[in-house]
Amino acid sequence: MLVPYAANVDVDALLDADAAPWRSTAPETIAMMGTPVGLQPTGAIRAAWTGKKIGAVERITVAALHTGSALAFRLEWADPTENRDLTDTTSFADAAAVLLPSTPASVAMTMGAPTAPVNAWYWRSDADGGRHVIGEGIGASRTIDVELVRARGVWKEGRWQVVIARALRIDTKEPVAQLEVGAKTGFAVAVWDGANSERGGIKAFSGDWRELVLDATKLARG
Amino acid sequence: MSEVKRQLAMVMDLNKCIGCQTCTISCKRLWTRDEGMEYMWWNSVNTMPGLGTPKDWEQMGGGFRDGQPNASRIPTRKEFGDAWEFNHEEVFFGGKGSEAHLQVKGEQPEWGPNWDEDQGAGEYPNGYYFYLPRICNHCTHPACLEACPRQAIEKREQDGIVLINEDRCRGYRFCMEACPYKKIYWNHVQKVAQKCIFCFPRIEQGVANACARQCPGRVRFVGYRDDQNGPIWKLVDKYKVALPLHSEFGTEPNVFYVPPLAPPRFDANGEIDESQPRIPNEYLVSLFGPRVLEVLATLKGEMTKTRAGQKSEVLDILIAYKWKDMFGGFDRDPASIEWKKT
Amino acid sequence: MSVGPRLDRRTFLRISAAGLAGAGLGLGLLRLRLAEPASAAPAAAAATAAPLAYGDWRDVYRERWAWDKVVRSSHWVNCWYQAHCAWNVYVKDGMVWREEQAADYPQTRPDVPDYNPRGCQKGACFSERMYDTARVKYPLKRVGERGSGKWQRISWEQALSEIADSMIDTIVQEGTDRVIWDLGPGVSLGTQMAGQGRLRILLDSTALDMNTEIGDGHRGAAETFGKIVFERSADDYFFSDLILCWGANPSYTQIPNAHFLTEARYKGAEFICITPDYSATARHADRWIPVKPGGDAALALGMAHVLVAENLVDRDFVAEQTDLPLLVREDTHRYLRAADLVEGESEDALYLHDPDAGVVLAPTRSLALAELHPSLEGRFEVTLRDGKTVAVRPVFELLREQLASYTPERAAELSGTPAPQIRDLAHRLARAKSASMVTTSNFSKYYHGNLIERAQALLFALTGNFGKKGSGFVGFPFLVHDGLEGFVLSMFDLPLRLLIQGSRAVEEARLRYAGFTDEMIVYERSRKGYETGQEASGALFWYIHGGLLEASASLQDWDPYLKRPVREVLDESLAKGWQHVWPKPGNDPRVMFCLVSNPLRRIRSYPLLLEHLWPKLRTIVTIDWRMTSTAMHSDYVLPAAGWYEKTEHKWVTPLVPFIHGGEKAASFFDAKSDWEIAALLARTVDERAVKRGITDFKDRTGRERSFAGLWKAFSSDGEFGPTDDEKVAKELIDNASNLEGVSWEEVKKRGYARFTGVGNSIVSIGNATPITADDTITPLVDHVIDKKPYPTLSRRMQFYLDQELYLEMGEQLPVHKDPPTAGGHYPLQLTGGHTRWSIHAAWRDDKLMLRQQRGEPVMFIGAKDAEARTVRDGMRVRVWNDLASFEVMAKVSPALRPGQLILYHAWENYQFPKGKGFQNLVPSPLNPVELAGGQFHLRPMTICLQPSHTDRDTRVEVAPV
Repeated sequence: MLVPYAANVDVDALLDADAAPWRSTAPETIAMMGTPVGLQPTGAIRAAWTGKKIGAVERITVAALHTGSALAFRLEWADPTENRDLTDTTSFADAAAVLLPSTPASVAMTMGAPTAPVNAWYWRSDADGGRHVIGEGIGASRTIDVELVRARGVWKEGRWQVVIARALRIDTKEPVAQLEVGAKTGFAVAVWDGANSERGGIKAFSGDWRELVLDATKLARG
Repeated sequence: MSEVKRQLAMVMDLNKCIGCQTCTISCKRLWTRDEGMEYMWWNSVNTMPGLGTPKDWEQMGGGFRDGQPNASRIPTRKEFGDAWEFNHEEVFFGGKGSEAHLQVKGEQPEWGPNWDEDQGAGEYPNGYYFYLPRICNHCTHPACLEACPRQAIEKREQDGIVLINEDRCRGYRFCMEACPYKKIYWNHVQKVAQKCIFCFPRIEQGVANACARQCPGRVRFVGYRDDQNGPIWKLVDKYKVALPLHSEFGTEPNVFYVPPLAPPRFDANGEIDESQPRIPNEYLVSLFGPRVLEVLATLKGEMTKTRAGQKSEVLDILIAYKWKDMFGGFDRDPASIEWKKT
Repeated sequence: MSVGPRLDRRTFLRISAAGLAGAGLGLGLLRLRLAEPASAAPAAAAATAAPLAYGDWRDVYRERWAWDKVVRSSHWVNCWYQAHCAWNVYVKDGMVWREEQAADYPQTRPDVPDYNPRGCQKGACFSERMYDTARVKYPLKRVGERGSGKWQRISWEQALSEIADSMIDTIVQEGTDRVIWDLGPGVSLGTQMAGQGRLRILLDSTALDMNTEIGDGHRGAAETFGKIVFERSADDYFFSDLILCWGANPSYTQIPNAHFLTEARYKGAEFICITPDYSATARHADRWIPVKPGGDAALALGMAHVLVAENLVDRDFVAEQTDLPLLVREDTHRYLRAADLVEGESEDALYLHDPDAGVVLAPTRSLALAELHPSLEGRFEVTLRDGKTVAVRPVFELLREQLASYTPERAAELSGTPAPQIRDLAHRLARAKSASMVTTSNFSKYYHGNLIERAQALLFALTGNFGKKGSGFVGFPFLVHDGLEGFVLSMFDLPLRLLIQGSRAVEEARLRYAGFTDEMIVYERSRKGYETGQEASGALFWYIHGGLLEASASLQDWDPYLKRPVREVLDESLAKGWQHVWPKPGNDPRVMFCLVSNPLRRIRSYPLLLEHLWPKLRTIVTIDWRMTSTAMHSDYVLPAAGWYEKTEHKWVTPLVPFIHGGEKAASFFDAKSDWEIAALLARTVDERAVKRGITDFKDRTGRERSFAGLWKAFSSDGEFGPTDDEKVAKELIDNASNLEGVSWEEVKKRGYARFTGVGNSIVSIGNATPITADDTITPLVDHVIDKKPYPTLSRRMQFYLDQELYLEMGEQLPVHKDPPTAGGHYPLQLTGGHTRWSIHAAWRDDKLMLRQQRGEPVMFIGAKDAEARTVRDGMRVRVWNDLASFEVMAKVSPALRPGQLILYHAWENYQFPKGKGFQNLVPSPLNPVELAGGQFHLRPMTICLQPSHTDRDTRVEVAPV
């Protein structure tokens, strides 16, 4: 995906999925697959999900914009129920994440590895804001910050519209994805449907890395 | 499987439990007072036969079958029994006189954590019931620990206490599905799973668990499984009068029960009928396994001895002449602790 | 638009620690060791992400279990059979955080389990209760109709001033006796009562003795032993080889003591539970014996039949300790008395027959028989003083005749217990080395409960099961220090005190000369109090002034044994001075104080009080720590300190022979201790009277008294001021004769101290047994071992009662009588019991307790009865009889006996739709035999021998709503 440059726009304004810059950005449609039950990390999860549908969300549209200093993804997908409330023990929140490689060797499908982590920018419907996560393998993710990732989700008439954004570069020792305008990297997307009790490794996933380049051209022109 | 060095355990004598729920309340007032925890009863006591909390938990599955994880589900708040709120303010100060009466606010409950107290089963005059207190069993083969994809559950090496690491937990609740005893709860405010912590802060200070120490019935013994001077080894391994609950769940629980005796039944003529026990054998076997019948016979045999004026070591342990001896060395008085301010 | 920080767990806890998170006490009390200062400010467009240095999540739990200080206290409420337990109260940031049992009682003897840890689930959550919505924070005055729930917060000054004025007006215009104190289950007999006692005496108010009214009268014990106070220490059960749990449910109502029973079983005791339903205690029995509710006298008499028929009677015991050898005239059916034989001789001197000596006076100063061998059988002739000869027979003969009809087969029909069980029980009792009873006040709540208790006592007497360790029928447990009376009297100035003491000494000498024991002398003093109004029957107050008698209007329809209308008997009783009512009938009460008491919840047929009594009262004051059914209908509600909010000590029972005391742990809004409230009221009455220029008033005997000087007397000339609770406590303890070597400091700091004796208080002396540090307590040892006479007419355990009402009712010996169909001819019997979930109403509407039940009142119904009425578990049903109706949730159980319903007690009226509480249909019919009086021990005295209120005979029908 080539990410257009949104000139003179503050990233906070982009958190509104209806903002003008989004309306003029063409999204990609991505087919999603459920993570295989055989790859679930524990026998209990495998026993619980064998024969069940993993990944209720089968299709998602993704658009992206960058401001030169921050990158925002706009995700949209169909979901008949808005699952935000976690009061009941059986309630799970609708959620979504954008995954980026932290190193060239990072593998999306395994959620990274200790020496080649992945960086997830994560949104969950039960809270405002985002979560910045490092993944070092299945079951080995950790939150490193709750403030750096901005996110906002709105559910309207059977569809979620979620914007997830972050600064391109972060001053940290943590193995986050550091982005550069013009450089080629990759991204992947995950969606959890709360109504289907999806969480952790039970999700819909976009597969291996899809190409991601932040368009440098308009930027050069100033 | 765990590689613990030592394992703490508890024995509960069901012939002393009077269903007072002091254990339940002592735990509640210590650990589950915060937001999100209102409906939690890490310790619960239920009348058996009965559906208990969560409702009909024994049929929900979980644990292991033939060595493999057995599918289950997460019990709902309603099944656990929600934390009802009441309209005291309205009744006392709302100025409505007798038009307002004290009620549960909102939806009227259909189940609670102790809904079927003192009902039991059978037919008069042969009805029967007993009380079964339960906590997390801090299993040797914990289904919860093995279910968590984030390894957010750990079993302490020094004492076998199973704990949910609330920093690692992301609220996936696979553990709640996996636990066949349904003793894990969801905190929707803190967004983590929570359960009995075997009072580890007290244990670390040499003080017995609140549920054990505060039990007025003197039902609960605490100690290391391998401590041959303590009550646990004697009751579980030497005299073998304490049995695990639903061992077929495959998790190797570390809470054991001395099974319940009951007075004899009556026949149709109102005569005492000792040909069958009041509590059906099948029922007790379904809870405690086939050895339960042997254990009951042992207990009865020992009571015959003491009735004849003879000594019985196992009954002396169960009597616990000195209350402190029940706690396997964890007999420090908590009030003697003075905390340093940080 | 900026987005706030995501409220994940770490942030949440940081906010909590900074005190910003809201509801629930627990949240504010977390302390975290954070690497950086707690801050809730969101990081603005942060480009740096310093990882949070964070105390481990385990530390959150560790730090939660911490406190600032620990104080000893307890729950100063009427747990009665369970009282008391020493608790440590943990205080954090000035508030009570939690409590946990102290559990450091010493072991009495090495061969008996120790008392630890005691406590129950209710005490374990008072830390939550004390801060809940039911608390009264400030003095309240009603602004709407009584019961409307419309309140105005007022100051203490205003409240006390208005109440004082009302008292003064009443006293001056109508009489001192019109000011009533109802002393409820919150009564401590410690500093609380020290205040109320002084105030009440100084103003000659009427204090209601509520014991028989609440249903703890133990009439049968009183009729038999001349007293009701005698009980063992709970660890004494360990010496019993046969424990009959008969009329008790210790799983529910003796929670901290129950372990002695389960442990005694392991040690070899046989534990037999006799109840209609398979109760929570039956489940622990070696045998459960079913019985019809109210059929227990027949069961006991069936057993007695077997004992007598099969010669299993301990004749020596019976001959010495009971009236069974005493001689009864065949013509009058009355005891042969000295006055019958010799002009001018005593009405109290009775006779026995000795094979050598013939018919001789029975010893009275000591039960020791010396050379006498009283005959239990035989028929003898005596010549009366008028020359006539009459035949006389020992009571035992009459008893044997009576028992002949109680064959096990007939007893089975009457009692509902199968005949083989009756025989078996009798044999077990006869074989037992030391048989004991576990009983509470269950039978006191049956209309014919007196007959039941007498029959039970008979069994233990026939088999000699008294006075030895682990044995005995027991009465009502009560053990207090005797410092209270002295404190109350010591407020009088020296001349008056000397006068009182002097006249007492004279009376005492007279009685001692006549052979009265200390105990009898104490009882005589109380009887005088009933005559003069110093003591007053609560039960009769509610029957007459409260209008409760109306509910007995159909009693002749319900009670087949009734010979004449009970109103007629009542009039006769009052006219003859057998029983007394204060204020006298026709003198309406005007001011009523409910001191931690809740009559609208407690009194059976309470709607009659609202109809008859409430309109008479100009001022109703509830002094309580929580809102109650009665508070709702009061004019003023004054906030009393909750139990951790005052320094207090309280009576207990021999079951737990330690006085308990404790310190104040925290304050609560405007609540004050009961001592302080009484003191302020005394001072306000004094001040208001002086200000209004009213100085004098007449007491109920016509003597002149003065308002001026009231405060001086109350406070012992300023020595005991409103906040001198501790001084008072120290004074009481120092002056107690049965706390030798015990100091108030010790009681306060340790939370308890073992009694050193039963003392001289009227509610303690009846135990008649020594208390030592290193042995269990068995009651009545003074009588059985030391041969001290019992405080009865016969000076013995008395099974024959020849007072005229008893003869009229055919109750001179214990008989079985079917329960009346109280409330009408309905098929189901609504019985009850005390719940495990509350001590009276103190926790009845507590959130945590309700969550462990069903959130609302429930009534147990048997499976077949439910099915026949299409009632399913959890369904709301209507319950009704001729008097009223209410609605409740049904709880169906196979443990219930067909025909029996159980509604455990103390639900507040406001927990029922439309406030129609379940006692609205309980008529508590007045049993005429309880109106007896005028005969030695059959005269009213503190806590017994006056009419009672009952409920277990109530008949109802049930149907789905």
